[in-house]
Amino acid sequence: MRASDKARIRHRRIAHTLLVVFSFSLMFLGKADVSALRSARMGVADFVAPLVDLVSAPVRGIETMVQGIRTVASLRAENVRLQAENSMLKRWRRRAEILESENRQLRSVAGAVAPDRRRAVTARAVTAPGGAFAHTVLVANGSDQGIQPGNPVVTADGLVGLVVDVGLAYSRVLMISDINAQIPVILSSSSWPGVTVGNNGPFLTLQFVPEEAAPKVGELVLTSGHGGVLPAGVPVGRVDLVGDEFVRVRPAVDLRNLSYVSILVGGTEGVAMGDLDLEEYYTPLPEADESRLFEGMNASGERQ
Amino acid sequence: MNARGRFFEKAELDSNWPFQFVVVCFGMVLAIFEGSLGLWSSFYSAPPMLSLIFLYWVALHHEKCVFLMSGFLVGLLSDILFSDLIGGRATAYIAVVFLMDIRRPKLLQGDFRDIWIDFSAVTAGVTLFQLILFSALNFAVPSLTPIAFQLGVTMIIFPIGYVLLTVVTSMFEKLRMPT
Repeated sequence: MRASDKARIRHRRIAHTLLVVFSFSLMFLGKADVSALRSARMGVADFVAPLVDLVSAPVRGIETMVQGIRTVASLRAENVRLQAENSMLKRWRRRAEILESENRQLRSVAGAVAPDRRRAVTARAVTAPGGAFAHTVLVANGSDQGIQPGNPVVTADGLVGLVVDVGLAYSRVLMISDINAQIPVILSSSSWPGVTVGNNGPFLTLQFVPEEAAPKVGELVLTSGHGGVLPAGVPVGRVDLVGDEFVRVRPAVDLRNLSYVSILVGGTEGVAMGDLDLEEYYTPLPEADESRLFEGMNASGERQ
Repeated sequence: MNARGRFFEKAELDSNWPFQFVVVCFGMVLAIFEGSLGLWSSFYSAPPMLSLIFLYWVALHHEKCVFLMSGFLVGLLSDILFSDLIGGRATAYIAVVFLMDIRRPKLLQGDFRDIWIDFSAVTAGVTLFQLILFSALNFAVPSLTPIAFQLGVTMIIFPIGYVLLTVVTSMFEKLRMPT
């Protein structure tokens, strides 16, 4: 072997070693949250996102077609379900009117009017979670629409997640099912606080719930608004399973079928970001009695 | 004489660059397509690793068209777009290309079953590598169901991808033959 060959092999080995070291160090730099790396990542995402959009167009088309076929096949069942839902909604509407009236009266007494200054920006989801190690999606709106990191992302059903990285025309949304997503919440009927934690799976775990709390299956879990980043009262999910050591929550939004989302921009100006003492703010409410609206009348308004 | 020899040697070494470039580009497009498969609710957050199938096949049958940087670039793009662990898949793909360089002669002597078993081991290794690093860096273990699903689907799809790639390559070679 000639000396030049030996030198070439040595150079190649050094280059390969450097490549492995660089690749490995990227993982630690990524977790260290280096701003330059984040900017570079969003820069690449901004550049590649149109190509992603183009490549995923046939996939999206096939998915739409399959959904259409499924919808046609399940029209009858859907009709029955919608009739039942309509009947239930009518009852809830009646209940909501009563609660609205009560709420108005209470607000006039307490003077606690909290106008929401957030503006909704509609954005299309360009990608879906493409791996088991991260539940993030790219959405087609960025800093040009005034979007900032921390902006909540919702649909009509509830909370999807938070904006974590913002590029010029695209943003990255951390979904509530991601292992890094921890959302301060309250249980709707008892008002006990807790935190939902994702695990890169289809469900969330409800943690840091006081021992006195007794979550029920089907109970709605709402954002508490602690920290001021998320607005209060956005549905996060429903309690799905209550075990001895854990409470499982099913997300309110079907995260597998995200097409369009709303990004809530603004609204955090003047919000005190200091730590809140939860015990001072929350006391359990009495159990909600959903069986009757008025004494002697059931939910349909019929006298019992 | 010496100078001429070195000149031709360099030309010979450089002749694979266009193919290597095509492999990287196609691998990147596959990585993007793989991520976009997550749009299907069946593959939500657990699409098959098409880019790995492609890299494995190229490293097995066209070793001169793939180099460590190919694995790095394809893996890095996948990480940037669809993963929380930047560099995780890139490092795993580098290891795959490197290992294939060593194992290729033995695999080519065996039948398809040996290749399939070896690919399954490689896929499991890539997934395990990412899982260990992810858990270590996040101090938490992610849900294992999607990971197992992704692993299984990739193993099942491998023969289809293998046949498809072989057929397409042989078609190209037939087209090239008359010229």
